[in-house]
Amino acid sequence: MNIFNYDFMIRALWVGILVGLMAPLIGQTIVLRRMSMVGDAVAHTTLAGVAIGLILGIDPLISSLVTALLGVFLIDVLRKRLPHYADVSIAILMSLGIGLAGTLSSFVRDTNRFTAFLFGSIVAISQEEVFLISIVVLIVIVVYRLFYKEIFAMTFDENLAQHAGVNVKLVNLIFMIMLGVTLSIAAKTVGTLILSSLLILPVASALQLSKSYKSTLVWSILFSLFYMVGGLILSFYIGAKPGGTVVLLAVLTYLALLPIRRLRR
Amino acid sequence: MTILNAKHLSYAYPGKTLFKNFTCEVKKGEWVTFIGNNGTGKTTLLKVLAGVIETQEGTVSLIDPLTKVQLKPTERVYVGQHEFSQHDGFPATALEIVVSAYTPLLGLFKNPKAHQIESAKAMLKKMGLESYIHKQLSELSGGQRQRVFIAKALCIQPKVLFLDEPSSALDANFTLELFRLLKSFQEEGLTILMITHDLALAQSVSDRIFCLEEVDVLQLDAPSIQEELAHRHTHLGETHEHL
Repeated sequence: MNIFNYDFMIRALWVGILVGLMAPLIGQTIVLRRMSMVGDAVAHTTLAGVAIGLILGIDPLISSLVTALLGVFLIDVLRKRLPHYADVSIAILMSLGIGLAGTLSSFVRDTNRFTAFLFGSIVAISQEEVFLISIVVLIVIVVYRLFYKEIFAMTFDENLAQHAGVNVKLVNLIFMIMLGVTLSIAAKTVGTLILSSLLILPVASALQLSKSYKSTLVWSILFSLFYMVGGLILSFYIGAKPGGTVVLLAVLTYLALLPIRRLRR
Repeated sequence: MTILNAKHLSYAYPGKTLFKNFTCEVKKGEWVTFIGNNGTGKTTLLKVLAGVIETQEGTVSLIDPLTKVQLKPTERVYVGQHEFSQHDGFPATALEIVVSAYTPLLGLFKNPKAHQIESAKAMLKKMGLESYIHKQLSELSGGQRQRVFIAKALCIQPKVLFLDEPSSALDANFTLELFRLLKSFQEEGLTILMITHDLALAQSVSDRIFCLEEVDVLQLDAPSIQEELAHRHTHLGETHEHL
Protein backbone atom coordinates (compact mmCIF):
# COMPACT_ATOMS: atom_id res chain seq x y z
CA MET A 1 0.00 0.00 0.00
CA ASN A 2 1.92 3.02 -1.27
CA ILE A 3 0.97 6.20 0.51
CA PHE A 4 1.76 8.33 -2.55
CA ASN A 5 -0.79 6.51 -4.70
CA TYR A 6 -3.53 8.34 -2.85
CA ASP A 7 -4.25 11.96 -3.78
CA PHE A 8 -5.93 12.68 -0.44
CA MET A 9 -2.80 11.47 1.36
CA ILE A 10 -0.51 13.67 -0.72
CA ARG A 11 -2.78 16.61 0.10
CA ALA A 12 -2.80 15.67 3.78
CA LEU A 13 0.99 15.40 3.87
CA TRP A 14 1.40 18.75 2.13
CA VAL A 15 -0.94 20.42 4.62
CA GLY A 16 0.86 18.55 7.41
CA ILE A 17 4.19 20.02 6.28
CA LEU A 18 2.68 23.52 6.07
CA VAL A 19 1.10 23.27 9.54
CA GLY A 20 4.29 21.72 10.85
CA LEU A 21 6.24 24.72 9.61
CA MET A 22 3.79 27.27 10.94
CA ALA A 23 2.81 25.89 14.37
CA PRO A 24 6.21 26.37 16.13
CA LEU A 25 6.40 30.01 15.07
CA ILE A 26 3.38 30.64 17.24
CA GLY A 27 4.09 27.83 19.70
CA GLN A 28 7.46 29.19 20.82
CA THR A 29 5.95 32.47 21.99
CA ILE A 30 2.92 30.70 23.50
CA VAL A 31 5.19 28.40 25.55
CA LEU A 32 7.68 31.05 26.61
CA ARG A 33 4.99 33.58 27.59
CA ARG A 34 3.30 30.85 29.65
CA MET A 35 0.15 31.19 27.52
CA SER A 36 -0.46 27.53 26.74
CA MET A 37 -4.06 27.76 27.95
CA VAL A 38 -4.79 30.60 25.52
CA GLY A 39 -4.01 28.21 22.69
CA ASP A 40 -6.42 25.68 24.15
CA ALA A 41 -9.19 28.23 24.62
CA VAL A 42 -8.92 29.58 21.08
CA ALA A 43 -8.77 26.00 19.78
CA HIS A 44 -12.17 25.33 21.35
CA THR A 45 -13.71 28.39 19.71
CA THR A 46 -12.63 26.95 16.34
CA LEU A 47 -14.86 23.95 17.08
CA ALA A 48 -17.81 26.29 17.58
CA GLY A 49 -16.88 27.81 14.22
CA VAL A 50 -16.89 24.39 12.60
CA ALA A 51 -20.43 23.75 13.91
CA ILE A 52 -21.61 27.14 12.64
CA GLY A 53 -20.06 26.46 9.23
CA LEU A 54 -21.68 23.05 8.92
CA ILE A 55 -25.11 24.41 9.93
CA LEU A 56 -24.98 27.39 7.58
CA GLY A 57 -23.37 25.48 4.73
CA ILE A 58 -20.18 27.58 4.78
CA ASP A 59 -16.74 25.97 4.49
CA PRO A 60 -15.85 25.14 8.15
CA LEU A 61 -12.31 26.35 7.47
CA ILE A 62 -13.62 29.87 6.89
CA SER A 63 -16.15 29.87 9.74
CA SER A 64 -13.61 28.47 12.24
CA LEU A 65 -11.13 31.13 11.14
CA VAL A 66 -13.72 33.82 11.93
CA THR A 67 -14.60 32.38 15.35
CA ALA A 68 -10.92 31.87 16.22
CA LEU A 69 -10.23 35.54 15.49
CA LEU A 70 -13.33 36.59 17.46
CA GLY A 71 -12.09 34.40 20.34
CA VAL A 72 -8.67 36.05 20.25
CA PHE A 73 -10.23 39.52 20.49
CA LEU A 74 -12.64 38.43 23.20
CA ILE A 75 -9.70 37.22 25.32
CA ASP A 76 -8.06 40.59 24.87
CA VAL A 77 -11.24 42.46 25.90
CA LEU A 78 -11.79 40.23 28.94
CA ARG A 79 -8.15 40.52 30.00
CA LYS A 80 -8.47 44.31 30.01
CA ARG A 81 -11.68 44.10 32.04
CA LEU A 82 -10.18 41.59 34.48
CA PRO A 83 -6.50 42.59 34.56
CA HIS A 84 -5.68 40.61 37.70
CA TYR A 85 -7.48 37.45 36.61
CA ALA A 86 -6.04 36.66 33.17
CA ASP A 87 -6.75 32.95 33.60
CA VAL A 88 -10.44 33.70 34.24
CA SER A 89 -10.79 35.33 30.81
CA ILE A 90 -9.23 32.24 29.23
CA ALA A 91 -11.56 29.91 31.14
CA ILE A 92 -14.58 32.02 30.11
CA LEU A 93 -13.61 31.83 26.44
CA MET A 94 -13.01 28.09 26.67
CA SER A 95 -16.41 27.57 28.29
CA LEU A 96 -18.05 29.71 25.61
CA GLY A 97 -16.31 27.73 22.87
CA ILE A 98 -17.24 24.32 24.29
CA GLY A 99 -20.77 25.48 25.20
CA LEU A 100 -21.43 26.83 21.71
CA ALA A 101 -19.84 23.83 19.98
CA GLY A 102 -21.80 21.39 22.16
CA THR A 103 -25.13 23.12 21.65
CA LEU A 104 -24.72 23.83 17.96
CA SER A 105 -23.49 20.29 17.23
CA SER A 106 -27.03 19.07 17.99
CA PHE A 107 -28.20 20.97 14.90
CA VAL A 108 -25.49 19.66 12.58
CA ARG A 109 -26.98 17.04 10.24
CA ASP A 110 -23.70 15.47 9.11
CA THR A 111 -22.32 14.45 12.51
CA ASN A 112 -19.47 12.48 10.94
CA ARG A 113 -18.09 15.65 9.39
CA PHE A 114 -18.35 17.38 12.76
CA THR A 115 -16.60 14.65 14.73
CA ALA A 116 -13.84 14.59 12.09
CA PHE A 117 -12.86 18.00 13.47
CA LEU A 118 -12.36 16.62 16.97
CA PHE A 119 -9.43 14.35 16.10
CA GLY A 120 -8.79 15.51 12.53
CA SER A 121 -9.29 13.76 9.25
CA ILE A 122 -6.78 13.14 6.51
CA VAL A 123 -9.41 12.57 3.87
CA ALA A 124 -11.26 15.78 4.59
CA ILE A 125 -9.01 18.24 2.76
CA SER A 126 -10.08 19.38 -0.69
CA GLN A 127 -7.81 20.75 -3.42
CA GLU A 128 -9.26 24.26 -2.98
CA GLU A 129 -8.56 24.14 0.74
CA VAL A 130 -4.96 23.05 0.10
CA PHE A 131 -4.54 26.14 -2.07
CA LEU A 132 -6.11 28.43 0.54
CA ILE A 133 -4.05 26.89 3.37
CA SER A 134 -0.83 27.24 1.34
CA ILE A 135 -1.41 30.94 0.79
CA VAL A 136 -2.33 31.62 4.42
CA VAL A 137 0.70 29.70 5.73
CA LEU A 138 2.99 31.61 3.37
CA ILE A 139 1.55 34.90 4.68
CA VAL A 140 2.00 33.81 8.32
CA ILE A 141 5.63 32.79 7.70
CA VAL A 142 6.45 36.07 5.94
CA VAL A 143 4.75 38.17 8.63
CA TYR A 144 6.54 36.22 11.36
CA ARG A 145 9.89 36.79 9.65
CA LEU A 146 9.18 40.52 9.33
CA PHE A 147 8.33 40.83 13.02
CA TYR A 148 10.86 38.28 14.30
CA LYS A 149 12.91 40.67 16.43
CA GLU A 150 9.86 42.44 17.84
CA ILE A 151 8.24 39.09 18.73
CA PHE A 152 11.49 38.07 20.44
CA ALA A 153 11.55 41.29 22.50
CA MET A 154 7.87 40.93 23.45
CA THR A 155 8.26 37.25 24.33
CA PHE A 156 11.32 37.86 26.48
CA ASP A 157 9.83 40.66 28.56
CA GLU A 158 6.71 42.55 27.50
CA ASN A 159 7.16 45.46 29.92
CA LEU A 160 10.83 45.86 29.12
CA ALA A 161 10.07 45.86 25.39
CA GLN A 162 7.29 48.41 25.80
CA HIS A 163 9.48 50.77 27.78
CA ALA A 164 12.33 50.36 25.28
CA GLY A 165 10.03 51.71 22.56
CA VAL A 166 8.85 48.49 20.89
CA ASN A 167 5.26 48.79 19.66
CA VAL A 168 4.10 45.89 21.82
CA LYS A 169 0.39 46.55 21.19
CA LEU A 170 0.81 46.21 17.44
CA VAL A 171 3.10 43.17 17.68
CA ASN A 172 0.72 41.49 20.12
CA LEU A 173 -2.25 42.14 17.83
CA ILE A 174 -0.43 40.65 14.84
CA PHE A 175 0.69 37.71 16.93
CA MET A 176 -2.82 36.97 18.20
CA ILE A 177 -4.20 37.11 14.64
CA MET A 178 -1.50 34.64 13.56
CA LEU A 179 -2.49 32.42 16.49
CA GLY A 180 -6.15 32.37 15.39
CA VAL A 181 -5.20 31.67 11.78
CA THR A 182 -2.79 28.87 12.69
CA LEU A 183 -5.28 27.13 14.96
CA SER A 184 -8.18 27.26 12.54
CA ILE A 185 -6.04 25.79 9.77
CA ALA A 186 -4.52 23.08 11.95
CA ALA A 187 -8.01 22.11 13.22
CA LYS A 188 -8.80 20.64 9.83
CA THR A 189 -5.87 18.24 9.83
CA VAL A 190 -5.31 17.18 13.41
CA GLY A 191 -8.56 18.15 15.10
CA THR A 192 -9.40 20.77 17.71
CA LEU A 193 -8.80 18.58 20.75
CA ILE A 194 -5.04 18.35 20.25
CA LEU A 195 -4.41 21.76 18.68
CA SER A 196 -2.66 23.17 21.71
CA SER A 197 -0.42 20.08 21.89
CA LEU A 198 0.68 20.84 18.37
CA LEU A 199 1.79 24.30 19.45
CA ILE A 200 3.45 23.18 22.67
CA LEU A 201 5.08 19.76 22.17
CA PRO A 202 7.55 20.66 19.38
CA VAL A 203 8.78 23.62 21.45
CA ALA A 204 8.91 21.57 24.65
CA SER A 205 10.99 18.98 22.77
CA ALA A 206 13.30 21.64 21.30
CA LEU A 207 13.90 23.16 24.74
CA GLN A 208 15.58 19.89 25.74
CA LEU A 209 18.27 20.39 23.13
CA SER A 210 18.80 24.05 22.34
CA LYS A 211 20.39 27.03 24.04
CA SER A 212 19.51 30.05 21.94
CA TYR A 213 16.16 31.47 20.84
CA LYS A 214 17.01 30.90 17.18
CA SER A 215 18.15 27.30 17.62
CA THR A 216 15.02 26.57 19.69
CA LEU A 217 12.94 27.79 16.76
CA VAL A 218 14.86 25.66 14.25
CA TRP A 219 14.62 22.54 16.43
CA SER A 220 10.92 23.21 17.08
CA ILE A 221 10.23 23.31 13.35
CA LEU A 222 12.17 20.06 12.79
CA PHE A 223 10.30 18.31 15.61
CA SER A 224 6.99 19.72 14.43
CA LEU A 225 7.56 18.46 10.87
CA PHE A 226 8.57 15.05 12.22
CA TYR A 227 5.46 14.81 14.42
CA MET A 228 3.07 15.95 11.70
CA VAL A 229 4.45 13.92 8.81
CA GLY A 230 5.34 10.90 10.96
CA GLY A 231 1.95 10.96 12.68
CA LEU A 232 0.04 11.27 9.39
CA ILE A 233 1.94 8.37 7.78
CA LEU A 234 1.43 6.27 10.89
CA SER A 235 -2.29 7.05 10.97
CA PHE A 236 -2.56 6.01 7.32
CA TYR A 237 -0.96 2.59 7.83
CA ILE A 238 -2.68 1.70 11.09
CA GLY A 239 -6.02 3.21 10.07
CA ALA A 240 -6.21 5.53 13.10
CA LYS A 241 -7.31 9.15 13.40
CA PRO A 242 -4.37 11.49 12.62
CA GLY A 243 -4.86 13.66 15.72
CA GLY A 244 -4.21 10.75 18.04
CA THR A 245 -1.13 9.42 16.25
CA VAL A 246 0.45 12.86 15.86
CA VAL A 247 0.06 13.70 19.53
CA LEU A 248 1.18 10.27 20.76
CA LEU A 249 4.30 10.37 18.58
CA ALA A 250 5.04 13.84 19.97
CA VAL A 251 4.54 12.91 23.62
CA LEU A 252 6.61 9.71 23.33
CA THR A 253 9.45 11.56 21.58
CA TYR A 254 9.35 14.29 24.24
CA LEU A 255 9.57 11.70 27.01
CA ALA A 256 12.47 9.98 25.23
CA LEU A 257 14.29 13.31 25.07
CA LEU A 258 13.97 14.05 28.78
CA PRO A 259 17.14 12.14 29.83
CA ILE A 260 19.18 14.12 27.27
CA ARG A 261 18.66 17.35 29.14
CA ARG A 262 19.67 15.68 32.37
CA LEU A 263 22.81 14.30 30.71
CA ARG A 264 23.70 17.73 29.33
CA ARG A 265 23.58 19.15 32.84
CA MET B 1 22.12 72.24 30.40
CA THR B 2 19.25 70.51 32.21
CA ILE B 3 18.35 67.12 30.73
CA LEU B 4 15.89 65.91 33.38
CA ASN B 5 13.40 68.16 35.07
CA ALA B 6 11.15 66.72 37.79
CA LYS B 7 8.57 68.96 39.40
CA HIS B 8 6.48 68.33 42.52
CA LEU B 9 6.48 64.55 42.28
CA SER B 10 4.35 62.66 44.77
CA TYR B 11 3.57 58.98 44.98
CA ALA B 12 1.55 57.00 47.49
CA TYR B 13 0.22 53.51 47.96
CA PRO B 14 -2.96 53.01 49.97
CA GLY B 15 -1.96 53.81 53.55
CA LYS B 16 1.63 54.84 52.73
CA THR B 17 3.09 57.93 51.12
CA LEU B 18 6.43 57.16 49.48
CA PHE B 19 7.52 60.67 48.56
CA LYS B 20 5.88 64.05 48.43
CA ASN B 21 6.54 67.17 46.38
CA PHE B 22 9.98 66.10 45.09
CA THR B 23 11.53 68.58 42.68
CA CYS B 24 14.91 68.26 41.04
CA GLU B 25 16.86 69.24 37.94
CA VAL B 26 19.61 66.99 36.60
CA LYS B 27 22.22 68.42 34.27
CA LYS B 28 23.58 66.64 31.21
CA GLY B 29 26.54 64.47 32.20
CA GLU B 30 25.68 64.54 35.90
CA TRP B 31 25.71 61.42 38.15
CA VAL B 32 22.91 61.50 40.71
CA THR B 33 22.48 58.78 43.30
CA PHE B 34 19.52 57.93 45.52
CA ILE B 35 20.02 56.15 48.82
CA GLY B 36 17.61 55.20 51.57
CA ASN B 37 16.32 52.32 53.62
CA ASN B 38 14.26 49.50 52.16
CA GLY B 39 10.66 50.45 51.44
CA THR B 40 11.29 54.20 51.23
CA GLY B 41 10.33 54.27 47.54
CA LYS B 42 13.70 54.55 45.78
CA THR B 43 12.75 52.16 42.98
CA THR B 44 9.36 53.82 42.51
CA LEU B 45 11.02 57.24 42.29
CA LEU B 46 13.58 56.02 39.75
CA LYS B 47 10.87 54.36 37.69
CA VAL B 48 8.80 57.55 37.74
CA LEU B 49 11.83 59.60 36.64
CA ALA B 50 12.61 57.08 33.88
CA GLY B 51 9.00 57.02 32.70
CA VAL B 52 8.60 53.31 33.42
CA ILE B 53 5.59 54.09 35.58
CA GLU B 54 3.41 57.17 35.50
CA THR B 55 3.67 59.71 38.24
CA GLN B 56 0.62 60.26 40.43
CA GLU B 57 1.32 63.95 40.89
CA GLY B 58 3.81 66.31 39.28
CA THR B 59 5.66 66.21 35.99
CA VAL B 60 8.88 64.73 34.61
CA SER B 61 10.45 65.96 31.41
CA LEU B 62 13.49 64.47 29.71
CA ILE B 63 14.64 66.89 27.03
CA ASP B 64 17.96 67.00 25.22
CA PRO B 65 19.38 70.43 26.11
CA LEU B 66 21.12 70.74 22.74
CA THR B 67 18.35 69.74 20.36
CA LYS B 68 15.46 70.73 22.70
CA VAL B 69 13.76 67.51 21.64
CA GLN B 70 12.17 65.07 24.06
CA LEU B 71 14.31 61.97 24.59
CA LYS B 72 13.23 58.84 22.74
CA PRO B 73 12.79 55.59 24.70
CA THR B 74 16.14 54.38 23.36
CA GLU B 75 17.84 57.51 24.72
CA ARG B 76 16.63 57.04 28.29
CA VAL B 77 17.24 53.48 29.37
CA TYR B 78 16.19 51.92 32.65
CA VAL B 79 17.98 48.88 34.03
CA GLY B 80 15.93 47.45 36.86
CA GLN B 81 16.77 44.89 39.46
CA HIS B 82 16.46 41.50 37.85
CA GLU B 83 15.28 38.76 40.08
CA PHE B 84 17.55 35.78 39.71
CA SER B 85 14.77 33.44 38.62
CA GLN B 86 12.87 35.93 36.45
CA HIS B 87 14.07 34.67 33.08
CA ASP B 88 14.85 31.12 34.11
CA GLY B 89 14.26 28.64 31.34
CA PHE B 90 14.09 31.27 28.61
CA PRO B 91 16.18 29.98 25.72
CA ALA B 92 18.16 33.08 24.78
CA THR B 93 21.90 33.65 24.77
CA ALA B 94 23.59 36.68 26.32
CA LEU B 95 24.32 37.95 22.81
CA GLU B 96 20.69 37.59 21.68
CA ILE B 97 19.56 39.63 24.70
CA VAL B 98 22.08 42.42 24.09
CA VAL B 99 21.41 42.57 20.33
CA SER B 100 17.68 42.91 21.04
CA ALA B 101 18.47 46.40 22.38
CA TYR B 102 18.66 47.53 18.74
CA THR B 103 15.07 46.42 17.98
CA PRO B 104 13.34 49.78 18.59
CA LEU B 105 16.21 51.67 16.94
CA LEU B 106 16.01 49.64 13.74
CA GLY B 107 12.25 49.88 13.40
CA LEU B 108 10.01 47.33 11.73
CA PHE B 109 11.19 44.87 9.06
CA LYS B 110 14.92 45.51 9.53
CA ASN B 111 17.55 43.16 10.89
CA PRO B 112 20.48 44.10 13.15
CA LYS B 113 23.54 44.92 11.08
CA ALA B 114 26.90 43.17 11.38
CA HIS B 115 28.54 46.18 13.08
CA GLN B 116 25.73 46.28 15.67
CA ILE B 117 26.26 42.61 16.49
CA GLU B 118 29.99 43.32 16.81
CA SER B 119 29.32 46.26 19.18
CA ALA B 120 27.07 44.02 21.27
CA LYS B 121 29.88 41.45 21.51
CA ALA B 122 32.39 44.17 22.37
CA MET B 123 30.14 45.47 25.15
CA LEU B 124 29.77 41.97 26.60
CA LYS B 125 33.58 41.67 26.53
CA LYS B 126 33.88 44.98 28.39
CA MET B 127 31.50 43.53 30.96
CA GLY B 128 33.90 40.61 31.47
CA LEU B 129 31.56 38.15 29.76
CA GLU B 130 33.72 37.19 26.77
CA SER B 131 33.39 33.47 27.37
CA TYR B 132 29.64 33.73 28.10
CA ILE B 133 28.53 35.42 24.87
CA HIS B 134 26.83 32.29 23.53
CA LYS B 135 25.72 30.93 26.91
CA GLN B 136 22.05 30.78 27.78
CA LEU B 137 20.94 33.47 30.24
CA SER B 138 19.62 30.81 32.63
CA GLU B 139 23.13 29.36 32.92
CA LEU B 140 24.57 32.65 34.18
CA SER B 141 24.81 33.75 37.80
CA GLY B 142 22.81 36.70 39.15
CA GLY B 143 25.79 39.04 38.80
CA GLN B 144 26.53 37.89 35.27
CA ARG B 145 22.90 38.40 34.27
CA GLN B 146 23.00 41.89 35.72
CA ARG B 147 26.06 42.63 33.57
CA VAL B 148 24.23 41.35 30.47
CA PHE B 149 21.42 43.85 31.08
CA ILE B 150 23.87 46.70 31.68
CA ALA B 151 25.66 45.75 28.44
CA LYS B 152 22.29 45.79 26.69
CA ALA B 153 21.60 49.28 28.02
CA LEU B 154 25.02 50.71 27.15
CA CYS B 155 25.41 49.31 23.64
CA ILE B 156 22.75 51.61 22.21
CA GLN B 157 24.51 54.65 23.72
CA PRO B 158 21.65 56.22 25.67
CA LYS B 159 21.75 59.83 26.87
CA VAL B 160 20.35 59.06 30.31
CA LEU B 161 20.88 55.79 32.14
CA PHE B 162 18.75 54.78 35.14
CA LEU B 163 20.35 52.04 37.25
CA ASP B 164 18.54 50.34 40.11
CA GLU B 165 21.20 48.83 42.38
CA PRO B 166 23.58 47.89 39.58
CA SER B 167 26.15 46.39 41.93
CA SER B 168 23.82 44.42 44.21
CA ALA B 169 24.79 41.03 42.75
CA LEU B 170 28.34 41.90 41.67
CA ASP B 171 31.56 41.01 43.46
CA ALA B 172 33.77 43.83 44.74
CA ASN B 173 36.33 43.53 41.92
CA PHE B 174 33.86 43.77 39.12
CA THR B 175 31.89 46.53 40.85
CA LEU B 176 35.02 48.68 40.65
CA GLU B 177 35.52 47.71 37.00
CA LEU B 178 31.88 48.51 36.17
CA PHE B 179 31.97 51.92 37.83
CA ARG B 180 35.20 52.79 36.03
CA LEU B 181 33.47 51.96 32.77
CA LEU B 182 30.35 53.93 33.70
CA LYS B 183 32.55 56.87 34.70
CA SER B 184 34.17 56.84 31.25
CA PHE B 185 30.71 56.93 29.65
CA GLN B 186 29.76 59.80 31.97
CA GLU B 187 32.84 61.73 30.86
CA GLU B 188 31.58 61.41 27.30
CA GLY B 189 28.28 63.01 28.32
CA LEU B 190 26.13 60.19 29.72
CA THR B 191 23.81 61.25 32.53
CA ILE B 192 23.40 58.62 35.24
CA LEU B 193 20.71 58.29 37.90
CA MET B 194 21.36 55.40 40.23
CA ILE B 195 20.08 53.68 43.36
CA THR B 196 22.54 52.02 45.71
CA HIS B 197 22.87 50.94 49.31
CA ASP B 198 26.61 51.49 49.19
CA LEU B 199 27.06 55.06 50.43
CA ALA B 200 30.87 54.97 50.15
CA LEU B 201 30.57 53.91 46.54
CA ALA B 202 27.90 56.54 45.93
CA GLN B 203 30.15 59.21 47.38
CA SER B 204 33.09 58.23 45.17
CA VAL B 205 31.18 58.40 41.87
CA SER B 206 28.25 60.77 42.34
CA ASP B 207 27.96 64.48 41.79
CA ARG B 208 24.91 64.62 44.04
CA ILE B 209 23.31 62.23 46.51
CA PHE B 210 19.67 62.25 47.57
CA CYS B 211 18.40 60.37 50.59
CA LEU B 212 14.80 59.13 50.79
CA GLU B 213 13.47 59.50 54.32
CA GLU B 214 9.85 59.01 55.27
CA VAL B 215 8.11 61.20 52.67
CA ASP B 216 10.97 63.60 51.95
CA VAL B 217 13.78 63.31 49.45
CA LEU B 218 16.72 65.28 50.83
CA GLN B 219 19.88 66.23 49.02
CA LEU B 220 22.88 65.31 51.18
CA ASP B 221 25.74 67.80 51.52
CA ALA B 222 29.34 66.72 52.15
CA PRO B 223 29.24 66.93 55.99
CA SER B 224 26.01 64.95 56.22
CA ILE B 225 27.47 62.24 53.94
CA GLN B 226 30.49 61.98 56.26
CA GLU B 227 28.18 61.86 59.28
CA GLU B 228 26.03 59.16 57.64
CA LEU B 229 29.13 57.14 56.70
CA ALA B 230 30.47 57.37 60.26
CA HIS B 231 27.06 56.37 61.62
CA ARG B 232 26.87 53.36 59.29
CA HIS B 233 30.42 52.36 60.19
CA THR B 234 29.62 52.41 63.91
CA HIS B 235 26.33 50.61 63.34
CA LEU B 236 28.08 47.94 61.27
CA GLY B 237 30.70 47.53 64.02
CA GLU B 238 27.96 47.02 66.61
CA THR B 239 26.23 44.44 64.40
CA HIS B 240 29.52 42.56 63.98
CA GLU B 241 30.04 42.58 67.75
CA HIS B 242 26.52 41.18 68.22
CA LEU B 243 27.22 38.42 65.74
